[in-house]
Amino acid sequence: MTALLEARGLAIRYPSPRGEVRAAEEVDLEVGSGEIVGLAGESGSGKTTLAMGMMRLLPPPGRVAAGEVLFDGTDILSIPEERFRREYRWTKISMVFQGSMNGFTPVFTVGAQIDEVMRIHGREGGRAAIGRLLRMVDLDDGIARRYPHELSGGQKQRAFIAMALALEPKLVLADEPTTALDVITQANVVNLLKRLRKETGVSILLITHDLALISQAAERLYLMYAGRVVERGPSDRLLREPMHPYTQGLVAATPTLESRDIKGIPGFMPDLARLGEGCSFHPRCPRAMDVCRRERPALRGVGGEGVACWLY
Amino acid sequence: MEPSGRRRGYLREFLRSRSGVAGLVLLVALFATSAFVVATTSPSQVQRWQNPAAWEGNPQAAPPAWVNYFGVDAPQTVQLSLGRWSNLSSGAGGAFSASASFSWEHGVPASDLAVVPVFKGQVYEMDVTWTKPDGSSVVMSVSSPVSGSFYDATSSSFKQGIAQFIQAQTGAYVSSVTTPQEVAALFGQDGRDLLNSSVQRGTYTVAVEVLGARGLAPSSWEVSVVGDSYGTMGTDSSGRPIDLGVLAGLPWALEIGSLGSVVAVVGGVLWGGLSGFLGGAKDRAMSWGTLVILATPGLAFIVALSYNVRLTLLSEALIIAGLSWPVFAIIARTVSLSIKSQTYVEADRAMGVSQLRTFTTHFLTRLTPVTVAFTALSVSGFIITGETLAFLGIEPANVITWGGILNAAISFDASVHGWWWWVLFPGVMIIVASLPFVLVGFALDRVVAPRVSAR
Amino acid sequence: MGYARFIAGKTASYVLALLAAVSLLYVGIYPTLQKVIQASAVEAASEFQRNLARGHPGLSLAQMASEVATYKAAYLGAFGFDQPFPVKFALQMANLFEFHLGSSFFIQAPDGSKQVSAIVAAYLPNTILLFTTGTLLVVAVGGVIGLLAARSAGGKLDRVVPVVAIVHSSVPSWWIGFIFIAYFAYSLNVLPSGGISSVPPPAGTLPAFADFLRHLTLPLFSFFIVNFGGFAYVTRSLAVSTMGEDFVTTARARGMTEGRVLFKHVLRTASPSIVTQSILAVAGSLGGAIVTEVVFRWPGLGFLTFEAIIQNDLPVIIGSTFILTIILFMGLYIGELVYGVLDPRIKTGDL
Repeated sequence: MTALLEARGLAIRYPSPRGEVRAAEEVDLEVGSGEIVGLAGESGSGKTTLAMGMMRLLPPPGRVAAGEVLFDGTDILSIPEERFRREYRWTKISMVFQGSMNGFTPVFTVGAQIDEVMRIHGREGGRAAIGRLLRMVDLDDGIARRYPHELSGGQKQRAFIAMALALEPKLVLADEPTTALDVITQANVVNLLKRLRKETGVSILLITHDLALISQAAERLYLMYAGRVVERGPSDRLLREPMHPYTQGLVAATPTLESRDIKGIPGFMPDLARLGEGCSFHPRCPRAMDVCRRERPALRGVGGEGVACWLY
Repeated sequence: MEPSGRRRGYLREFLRSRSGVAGLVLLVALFATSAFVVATTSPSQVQRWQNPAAWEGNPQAAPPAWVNYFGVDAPQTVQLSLGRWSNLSSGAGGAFSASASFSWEHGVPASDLAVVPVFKGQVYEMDVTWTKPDGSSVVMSVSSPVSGSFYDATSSSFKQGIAQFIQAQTGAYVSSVTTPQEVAALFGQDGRDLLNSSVQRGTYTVAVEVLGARGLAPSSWEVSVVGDSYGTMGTDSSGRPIDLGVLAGLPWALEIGSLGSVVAVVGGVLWGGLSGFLGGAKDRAMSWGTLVILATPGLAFIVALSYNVRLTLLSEALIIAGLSWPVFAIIARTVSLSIKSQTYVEADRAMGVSQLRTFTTHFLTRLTPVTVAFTALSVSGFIITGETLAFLGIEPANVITWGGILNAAISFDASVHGWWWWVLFPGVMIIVASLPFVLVGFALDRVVAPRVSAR
Repeated sequence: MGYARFIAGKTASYVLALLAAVSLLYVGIYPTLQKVIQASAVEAASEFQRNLARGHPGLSLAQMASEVATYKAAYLGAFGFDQPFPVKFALQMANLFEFHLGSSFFIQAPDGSKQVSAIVAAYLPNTILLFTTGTLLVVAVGGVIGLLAARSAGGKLDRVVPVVAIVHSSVPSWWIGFIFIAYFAYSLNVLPSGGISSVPPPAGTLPAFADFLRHLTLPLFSFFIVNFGGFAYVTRSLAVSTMGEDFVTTARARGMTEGRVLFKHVLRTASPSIVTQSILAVAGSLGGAIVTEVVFRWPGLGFLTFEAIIQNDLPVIIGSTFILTIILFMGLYIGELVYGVLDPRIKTGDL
């Protein structure tokens, strides 16, 4: 399996009055062709920032401080902005947003916006194409004539996914695509994503804080904590036998059918502007040792698996 | 977020704005100046301002004195002090004389010669003898002058004397002379070319002789060689010093601006805030009320109303405020609606907190900073409205306004004549009085405006 | 469907508001209005008497006096003078709305008529011309500057716009007119100092039009210069807050150029609020505009009002105030209709 998207040593920082915030550090990430990869972590762990960084949409003053992102072998962070806009945004990489509820411009109809994105990238557009896209996400053709405020949250999310697929991209970054939806709609959206992957062969990077959701969809999983990947591996293994104490805590905090006994992880995420020397998780870690305070553990492992913890 | 902490936060953030602090400093200076003006001005001074005759001794439509520093030769008025009166009388009547000299080094003549005799008793004749540096002299006789009256080149007896002198020098018959011709004669080189000649430089002497009935007692006379420039801001066409008017206009501008703004903003914010808070049919009715006033042309309305309402500071401020509150109501309603959508307002309702209490705790506390910012921001608008009305001739009696000065300027075609000082300074004062409020207002507005989340 | 209901609602609300505003004016000027009507009744009666004397030379003095008295009573009766207040109010309001504004004391229309409606009709087009052109210019230029400032938030333009707005909020537009006249007309002598055409006007349509444009330049420019800064600032604020919304990020992610994001998506979304702000700006700048007319002797309603104030011509003051009220209402009403087109929630009946 060759990697479609490969991030190497990616670091994203932005200055703040409290010092430089290290939103992401030394992140290595791979998404294969036709693969659904999960990127999980608590809110504030740097997942969304990472996605925005790869889309080159970091709100200023944020910037990519180090690393590269290879897409089909091209470093998409170093090519000129205009070329990236023309050749990659939405044509090769599209995105479904956390705020896709508000992702449509409120004053244009859904159809007009799908049509627009097709036309600005030199595609045909037109009613038939839009209808096909909408039907693909189980929406009625008539939705094209509606304004965003006339749609329900689930309908908007589906319509947005349809728009994300309008240019047949190779990769969709799905950032919390199910937040603010009710549970049944959440499941529908996840099933939709899985089905679309099967039908179109698109790769999906599914970014979420919801492990239950990710376990349904993703084959492989990256777990982020305080801007770093702390564990990676196949999702069934990772959820069944989590290695990193953070993953363990997270899994324990996820309700399953078998156990309703939910335990949260005590404590809070550290201030990303004031990260110390040791492991970022050690203040909350039930198994913290002396070395955890002094030195940061590197992500070690073989193949697709790995963990950043002194326990292993 | 407890309110007092938030308020302190506002203050700190405001003080961080340099323009805001500058505005605040200017504001304090303005109010201090205004207080000084109020303390030192009496109603009689306002009356004097409104009586053009009281300013005859000043040069008319003269530029500021400092134009001399910019290469303009515009002499300033020379006040002459006549020496001691020497008694010439020997017996029946009273006869006195006195004289004063001055040196004239300008290339242009003065604009006028003015004499105000002051005496007790009765004068039959007053002779003013003007002696030039070359020794030739002009005699101007006034019969039966009145004590305290003003005699200058426009008085017929002065004209007569000067016309005789011109005739004697040029040999031409002069039927009538203009004031510029008169002063040209008083200062020019003697001879045929008197009226078109250059100015004689050197020492001039003005001697006064009075002849009157027994018991005549002349006292201190005002004799002045009226210049072509005056004070820091020049004079208008009746000789009133613009600087005096500009200073006297300050308190009124600040009063009408602050009073109007406070009434309109507080009223408007309460109306709009309440409308948004109440919602439903009450909101619709109140918004409609706002529309009614918004769509009335305020200025024209005030002009029409001014014929039925006696204008005072208070009534004018109330009328202006009564017609300009809708803008604030509209914005306050929007703020109110956004507060209403917050969860704690719903929580209040769920907990059964009374409407009044919800309004005072959540809405008024949020609307207050907005009100303060609006008030500061809108004062300039009210100053401008007040001055605009004054410019149209709508103002309370007994006040001096910049708009009134500018009204006079347009009536006397100040722009046409190039009397720029008459137009410039009152207008600049409107800006000077408005700007600090706007600076403070903008700074406050930036502090209290709901900020865009940086994300 | 939604739009039709919106229009119907707004129309009703504006018509009622106009009635209310004119009633307010009526109450405010009631004593003056009665005097004015009586004066014009006297005027009309003496006119009637002259005609009567000319047409029926045989009438006796007593007959004549009784005819005139009847005529005057009928004239006043039409204004409800012998009626209780509510009837009087209704009759006089009806007269106002039928533009029966009476006759002026002194001022004449260019054709010599002393009917206030004729006088106002002669001056009105010039006000509309100056005011609408000025407003459109302010909205267009101020809007573009505001958007550009919003695009480069924190940039040079973004820092200049508030400064311009601050200065503009403290300068009366008519005073700027003074300064322009002194500078451009008398110092540089490049533009006329006032009026609407040269005396005598140049022959030929094209030269006459060019002459008119030369006269329009300074009043228009002084109205524009004092009003565009505030509008640019408002537009900038609205655009900046719109640009913080999610759809802007997604629009960029969709691979749109910055220009498309700004001038299509942001502008179009912010446009209803911008229209609302324009409405407020129009209401706020009318006063300045009519006084600008005075300074430039631009023969519009403002200049007319000024002349009427000087000559104490009350009928003209009342008439021009009434017409200005109607104009402002029309302006705001048109603004509302535009708003209705721009906000899709109105089209779909959700608002």
